[in-house]
Amino acid sequence: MKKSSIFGRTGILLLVLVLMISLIFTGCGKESDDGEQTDIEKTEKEDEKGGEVTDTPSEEVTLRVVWWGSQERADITTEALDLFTEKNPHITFETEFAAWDDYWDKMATYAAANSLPDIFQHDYAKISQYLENDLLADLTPYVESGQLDLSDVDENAISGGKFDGKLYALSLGTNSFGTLVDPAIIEEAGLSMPEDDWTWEDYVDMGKTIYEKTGKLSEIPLAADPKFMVEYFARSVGKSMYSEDGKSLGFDDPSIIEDFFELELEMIKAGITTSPEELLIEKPIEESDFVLGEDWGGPYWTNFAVVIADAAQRPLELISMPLYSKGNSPGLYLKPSMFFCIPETSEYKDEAVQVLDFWTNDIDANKILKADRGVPISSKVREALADGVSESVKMTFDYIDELADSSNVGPIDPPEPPAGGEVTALIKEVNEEILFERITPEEGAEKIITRANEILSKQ
Amino acid sequence: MKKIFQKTKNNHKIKPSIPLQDNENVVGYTFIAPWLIGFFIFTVYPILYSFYLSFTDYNILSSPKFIGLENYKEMFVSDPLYWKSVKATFYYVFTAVPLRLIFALIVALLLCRETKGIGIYRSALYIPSLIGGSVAVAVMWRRIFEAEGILNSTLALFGIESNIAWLGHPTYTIWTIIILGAWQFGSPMLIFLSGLKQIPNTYYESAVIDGAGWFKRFFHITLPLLTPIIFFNLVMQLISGFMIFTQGLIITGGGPLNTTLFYALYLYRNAFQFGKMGYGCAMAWVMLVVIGLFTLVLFKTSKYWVHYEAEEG
Repeated sequence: MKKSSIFGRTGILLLVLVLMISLIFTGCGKESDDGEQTDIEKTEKEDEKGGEVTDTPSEEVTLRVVWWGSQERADITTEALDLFTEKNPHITFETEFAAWDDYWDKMATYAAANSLPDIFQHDYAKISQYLENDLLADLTPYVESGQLDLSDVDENAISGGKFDGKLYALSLGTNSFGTLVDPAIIEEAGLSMPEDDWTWEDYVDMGKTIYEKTGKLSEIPLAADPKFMVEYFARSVGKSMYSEDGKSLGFDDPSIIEDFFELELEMIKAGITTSPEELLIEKPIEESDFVLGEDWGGPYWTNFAVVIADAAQRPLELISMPLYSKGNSPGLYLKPSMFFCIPETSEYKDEAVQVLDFWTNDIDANKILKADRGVPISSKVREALADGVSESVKMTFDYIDELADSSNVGPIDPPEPPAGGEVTALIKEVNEEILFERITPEEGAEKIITRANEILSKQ
Repeated sequence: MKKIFQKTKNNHKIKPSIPLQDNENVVGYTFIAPWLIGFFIFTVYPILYSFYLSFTDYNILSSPKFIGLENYKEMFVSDPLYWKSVKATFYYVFTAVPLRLIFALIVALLLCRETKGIGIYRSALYIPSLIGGSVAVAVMWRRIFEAEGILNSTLALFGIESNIAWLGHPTYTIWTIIILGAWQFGSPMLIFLSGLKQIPNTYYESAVIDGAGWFKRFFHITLPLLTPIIFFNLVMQLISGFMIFTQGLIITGGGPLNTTLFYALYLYRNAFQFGKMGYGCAMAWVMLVVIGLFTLVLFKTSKYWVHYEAEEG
């Protein structure tokens, strides 16, 4: 008791204040771990030099790099970045990765807090919002000055990241759709491999024959993301998914969607697919029907085809997409699988560009990266890699090379409008209703067109 | 800081001009200041700000644009998915909450008697609720109800061939989540248990002497005396029921046919995936009002069915 009276009320008050303040500051210290601390350090340095910013190579720089993807991608990405640090010891990295959905939550929060990482992965479907808000740095000057060397890169591979003539996003690889099939099953059914100009009618017929002869199932095309089928059909008749201003769909003919729904329904009714109940459950790739050898294949993104082929561990072939018989325009396009972007707010743009240059052109780095983010855009890198990569990666390299001359490949549509995510969800929802035969294809098509235009006009 | 020091020092020497009471309050508030600051910055401010956001068009990336009642209008008039999510949530609340309470009460009755090792049983039965809301359980639940999952394989052991994909079927799927909800009866069970122990044994003894059977005793002694506890549990469970989210996100992803697109899940999608933060905030405020209304109704009607011993005595 006596002791406490020595401290007295004042003492306790002081103690509490000190504790409180220290608590608050420790809190801040921890938060600024992801980047702000380096800012503080830098400003301190600048102060010492009287506000003069110098770019001496000895300056220690920590770049934040963030991406979405699997653990495997994380491993190879960190390995490639370590290689960069080995060559440029003054630049180190702080990395983060997340699953797709969480990633965009995270980025939105970073953007709102003006603390976007120095290099971050981006996607064609999401980029319009970031462009509208001027969050991304223009990379064109760096290309012109040669800091970002794109001389071995085909213009097609770059153009996806160009908006209003300026390069805001650097493609990390090229992607497209292809039909991944199991030749053994096709042979077993007594059929020959489809020709390049096969149609969706052929796809369904083939499925029926295969089911009859072998009991193997067919896949509802792109069941996980039916929006791409609608887009493919729309492009095939010379339209686009969205109108130019993004305020409505790019087509008003419901038969485009109807034909796609009819196709699915025919497969369901013929009993050549898994039940809709099972179809809609997301499964690990290792447990999918295709990997288990229960079905003969279907359309996939090329980078996903690699994953499937690796999991299946039997020879699979990547062949052309079936054509929409009512159209004769190119339905496919080469999509930048994903981008790296540098935010306008980054303090280390030069260093970040240096990393992008390394990423694009360094052969050793790309050997580590194993084309996980899509077929590399630099032709030199592709050549150097061609012999070293696995069969499945080679398969996609060849396929993408073939696509360059295909008449079914056209220029990519502008990136989707901000409400695109909602339209995608809508198409998925209606597609489910079709698969469960709750509504007719005609009703479904009408519903999508009405509701999608409503959503798009509101944004 | 020096000033404070001097001031308080002076207070010791001269007669305190501030009443002692006040001074003690200052110390008290200083002690809880870290919490208070956190509460105002991280709770009160975001809540108020979200109310403002509910009247705006806000996609996180650009600054909010005031649009008046548009969000609320869209919700009630033109968004069919909104009503689907409302339906799914009500369906869940009105099935899972009663089921969970009934289970909790039954288990509490079983655990009420004093047998050997009762402590172990109690903790064992409480475990599902400890881990219940977690992602791990949701993932496990998926494994159980998959087409080639534990449930179907177990059924096969007993000769029942079932290849129903429980998680893909428009009618069954929500029930897998309801059962999960009922399984997490731990916390209401514990509260029931303590309530049961409060009931004086003398009531039962005299009832037995009068020849009342188990059912009579349960319905005329246990249940009425337990109503305050039931009331409390009902309110708490109703509130948590409305907020169901993780299960819908992980086990079913809202599907199939949006039958498990719970309110909070749809809210999350709007706010974070569709970039409609303003709309999400508006949804959250409507949910708050709805939960508030339900709680209010429960409180208002409680006088007709909740018996407090004190009043009776």
